[in-house]
Amino acid sequence: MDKPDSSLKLNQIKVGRSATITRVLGSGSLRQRILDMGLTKGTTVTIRKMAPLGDPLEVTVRGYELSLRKAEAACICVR
Amino acid sequence: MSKIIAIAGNPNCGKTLLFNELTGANQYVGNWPGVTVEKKGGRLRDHEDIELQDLPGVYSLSPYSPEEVVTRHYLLEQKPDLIINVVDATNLERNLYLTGQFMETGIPVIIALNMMDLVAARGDTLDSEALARALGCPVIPVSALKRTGLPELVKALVGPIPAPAPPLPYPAEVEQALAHITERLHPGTRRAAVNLLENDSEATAALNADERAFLDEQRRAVENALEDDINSIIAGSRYDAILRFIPEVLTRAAQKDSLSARLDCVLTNRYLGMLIFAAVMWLIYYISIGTVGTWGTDWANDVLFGPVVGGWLGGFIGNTPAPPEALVQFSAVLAMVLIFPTMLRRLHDLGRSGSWMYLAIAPYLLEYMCPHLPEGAHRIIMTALLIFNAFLLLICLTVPGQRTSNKYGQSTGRPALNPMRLGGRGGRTEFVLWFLLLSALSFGAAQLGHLGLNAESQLQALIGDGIVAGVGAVLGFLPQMAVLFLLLSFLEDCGYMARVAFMMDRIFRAIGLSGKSFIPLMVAMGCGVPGIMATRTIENERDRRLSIMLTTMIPCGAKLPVIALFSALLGQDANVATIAYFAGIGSVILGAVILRKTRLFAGGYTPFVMELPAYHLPSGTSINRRAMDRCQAFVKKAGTIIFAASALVWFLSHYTWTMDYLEDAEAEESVNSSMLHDVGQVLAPVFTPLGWGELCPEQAWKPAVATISGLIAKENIVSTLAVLYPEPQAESGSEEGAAEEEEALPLSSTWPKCNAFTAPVMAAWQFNPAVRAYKAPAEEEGEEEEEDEDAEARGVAAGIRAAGAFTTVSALGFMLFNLLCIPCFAACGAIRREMNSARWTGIALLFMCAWAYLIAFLVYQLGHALYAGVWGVGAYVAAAFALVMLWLIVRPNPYKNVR
Repeated sequence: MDKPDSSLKLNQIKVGRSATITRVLGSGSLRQRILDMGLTKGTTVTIRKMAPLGDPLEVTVRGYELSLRKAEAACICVR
Repeated sequence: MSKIIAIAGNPNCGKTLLFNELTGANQYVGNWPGVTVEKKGGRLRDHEDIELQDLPGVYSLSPYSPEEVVTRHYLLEQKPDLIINVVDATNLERNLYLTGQFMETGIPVIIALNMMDLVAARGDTLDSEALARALGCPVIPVSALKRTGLPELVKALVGPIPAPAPPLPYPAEVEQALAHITERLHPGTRRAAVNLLENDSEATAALNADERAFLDEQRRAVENALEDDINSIIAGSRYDAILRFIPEVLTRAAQKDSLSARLDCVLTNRYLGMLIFAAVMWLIYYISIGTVGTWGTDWANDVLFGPVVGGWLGGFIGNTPAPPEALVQFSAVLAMVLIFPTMLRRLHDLGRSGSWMYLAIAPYLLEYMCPHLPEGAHRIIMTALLIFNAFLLLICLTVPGQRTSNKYGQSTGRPALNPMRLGGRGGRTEFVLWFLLLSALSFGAAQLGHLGLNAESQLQALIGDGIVAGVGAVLGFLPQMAVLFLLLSFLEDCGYMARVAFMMDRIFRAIGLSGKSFIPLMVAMGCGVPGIMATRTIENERDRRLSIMLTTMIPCGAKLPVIALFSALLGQDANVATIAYFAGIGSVILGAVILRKTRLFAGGYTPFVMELPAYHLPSGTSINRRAMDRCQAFVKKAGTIIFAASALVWFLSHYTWTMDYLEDAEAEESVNSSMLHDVGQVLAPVFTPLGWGELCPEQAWKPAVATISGLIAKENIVSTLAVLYPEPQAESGSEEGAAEEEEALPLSSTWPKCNAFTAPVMAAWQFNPAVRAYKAPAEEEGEEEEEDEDAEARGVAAGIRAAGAFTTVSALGFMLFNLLCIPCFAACGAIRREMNSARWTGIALLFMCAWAYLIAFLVYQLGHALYAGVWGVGAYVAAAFALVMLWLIVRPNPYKNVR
C-alpha cells in the first residue's frame, strides 16, 4: 500500500495554515505512533511553527501540541 | 479486603504526582523485570491493604516502545483489580483514546479527571457527570497539584469495585468481524479480539495457518468495506467514538492563546529560543557548579571533612584532644544530616511540599560564604531562618498526620522514618521519638571524640587516610549534585525539557541521535550515573543504546579535578579545559557517526513524534522526591563502591605481597615494594605506545596505577598521583597536618549549627563547661579558602613535574585517555543495568577503551612527531589509524537500507 502518492503532504503546508488528513502512509511502529497520537483520517492539523533550526515541526492536533520531523510529516497526506 | 490498583495514563497527565499524593512517602522504586523502565509501587495512605502500582505513561497499548510493552503485559497478565485512569482534562480526546483501550481489557476503570482547575482557568466547562454517563464508568474530578477531589477518589478506591464499563463501539463492519473472531477463536477479552483483527504479532503468534487465513479473510473484508487499512480504521474509529460524545461533555470557550502557548512562542522562538536555551544552561551551571552548589561542596571539603571530622577522629581513635568546637560542629552536622530526610518525608506525608526545608541549610552556606557580612545583618538573617525552620519543626511535631499501624496485621517490615530509607512514614509520636533518638545519637557520636583510643597506627591510617578521606572526597560532591538534580527536576517537570529536545533534534539527528539524547548528555556533565539513567526517556532502543555508550565520554563532575590537575601541570589553564570538553563532545559526535554506520546500529531511522506538554509550575513534592532519589543513588554509590574501593587501594599500596605493613607508604622504598607497584608494573607495557614511560621508564607503572584507581572514581586519579608523586617538601603544607592546624579553624559563630533541627543537640552541649568557656579563634581565613582547590592541584602538579613523568603531549594523552576510557565502576554498573544485556555492556566498555586508547595514541604519536620533528614507526602507524578513522567517518552508510 506504499504506492507512490502525488497528493499534498503535511510538510508542504505553510506555518500557520491548517489541513485535513486524508491518509497516513508508512508502516510499522512509526505509522502506529502517528495514528495513536490522533493523526487519523479526517483530523484537522494546524502547523504552529518550526524549530529554530528549521526541523522538526510543531503542530496542533486534537487540542494539543505535537512535534514531528518533516520526514515524518511527509508520510501524512492532507488536503 | 486487599486489592491491587494500577495507576495508568498518558505521559505528562499528572499521574506520578497523583501517585505521590495518594501514597504519601510510602513508596518503593525499582525496575520492571527485563526492561529499563522504572517501576514504582506503594500503598494507599491510611489503607495499607490497598497496593498501588504506578504504570509508565503511554499513549496506546500497541507493543512498540518498552513502556507500552510493560503496561500492556502488566494489565493483561497481572490483571489488577482496578485501573485508575488519570485523564488530563485539558487534553480529553487523546487521553480518552487510551481509556478506550483500557476498557477493552475488561478490567474495571475509574477515571481521575486531573487538571480540572486548568480547564476552568481556560474558561471551558467540563461536565464530569455527563462524561461518566457517556463512558459508563465512575469519573472523579481531581487536581493533584491543588489537592482537590482526593478524598472522593480515595473513597472510590476503598469502596466496592465498580463493574467493568461497556467498551466503546466500533463501526458495524468491525463489530461483525470481532463477533466472528470471538466465536471461532475465543480470545477471552475484546482487547484480544481486536489485537487478532489488527494482526498484532504477539497475539497471532500462537495460531496455526488455518486460523491466520481466517483472520486475514476477516481483516480483508473490513478493509474492503471501509476502504482503508485495519490500523487506520481501528485508531480512527476509536477517536470517532470519543468525538461523538465530546460536544455533550465539553463546552469550549472562545479560543484564545493560552499562557503556555504565548510562553512557548518566546521560548522556542526561531532567534530567541537558542539564546534562552544557552542562558538556561548557563544559569544551571552557574547555580550548581559556580555558586550555591560549590559553596556547599567547599564547605563539606574544607570545613566538614577537614577540621570537624578530622578533629573528632583525632580525638576518637588518635590521642589528640579534640577541640570542643569541632565536636559541637560534628554533632550539629550529624543531627542535620540525619533529621533532614526524616523531616522532609514527614512534611510530604502531611501533604506539604517541604521545599522550604532547604532554607535550613542556608546558614551553613552563609557561614562559609559570607563571613564578612555586618554582624547585625548576619544576626537578622540567621534569626529569620531560625524562626522559619522552628515553625516547620513545630508543624512536624504537632500535626497528628499518618500512622503506620496496620490493622490487617501485615507489617511494613521496616521502622518508619528511618533516615537511611526514603520510603518510611510515621505519625506524630513516631516522629517525636525519631527526632529525639537522632538528636541523642548525634550528641553521643560526638562524645566519642573524648575517648582518645590511641589505636594502632595501622588502624588509624586505614580509617583516616583510607576510608574517611575516600568517602569524604566523594560525599563532598553531594551538595553540587543536589543543587543540579533539583534544577534538572524542575526543568523536567515544568515541560521545558521536551522543548530542549524539540530545539536540539536537528543537530542530534545529523549525528544519528535524537533530540532526547541531549538531556542525558547534559546531565552527564554533572555525573555519568544519572546521565545514563536519563537515557530512559529515549524510546528507540538503538538510540538509547548509542546514547548510553557515548554519555560517559562527556567530562563529568568527578573528572573536573583531573582536568584541574592537568591545567596546573601544563600551565595553560583555559586551553586544557577547552581541549578536555572539546575532546568529550567531539568523541560523542564522531563516535555516534562511526557507530551508526556499523552493523550494530544498522537500519537507522527513529521516529520523533513527541508531545510538547503545556508548561506548568511543577509541585515541590515531586521535585524534592526526584532529587532525593537521585542523591540517594549517588550516596549509595559513594557509601558502598567508593568505600570498598578506597580501602582496597589503600590496602594495595600499604601492604606487600607477604602482608607486611608499610609504615610510611609515601616513602620511596615502600612504594616500590607495595602490591600496587607490581600491578602497575604488569600493565605498564600496554601503555608504552602512549608514551607514559617515555621520560623515566622505571616509573612507567605509576600512570598505569593511577588509571586503575580512576576506575573506582575518576577523582581518585588525582589523589593517587598525589601519593605516587609526592610534592617536594619545601612547598608542602595545607594538606597533611590538619591535626596540627586546628587553631586556625574557621569555626567561629555559633549561629549556623544552631537551627531548629539541631537545637536539642546544641542545648545538650551547653552542659559541657569546656564548650561554654570556648572562645572562638579570630577569623583569619578569607582569601586563602578560595584558592584551596587550586593549591592542591598545583601541589600535585609540582610533584609530577619534579618527578619528570610526562612530556606535554604524553600528559595530554594521559588525561584524554582517562577522560574517555571506561567510566568509574558505578557508571559501569549503571550501563550494565540500563543496557540490560551482558553482551551490550561488553560492547560498550570495549568501544570506550578502544576509542580512548586510539585517541591517546594519536595525540601522543602525532604530537610527538610534530613536536620533535622525528617521524618514527609509531607516528606512521598513528597516521594510518587517523586515515582509517577518517574513512569510517565519511564513508557512506553501508546499512542504510537494512531494516
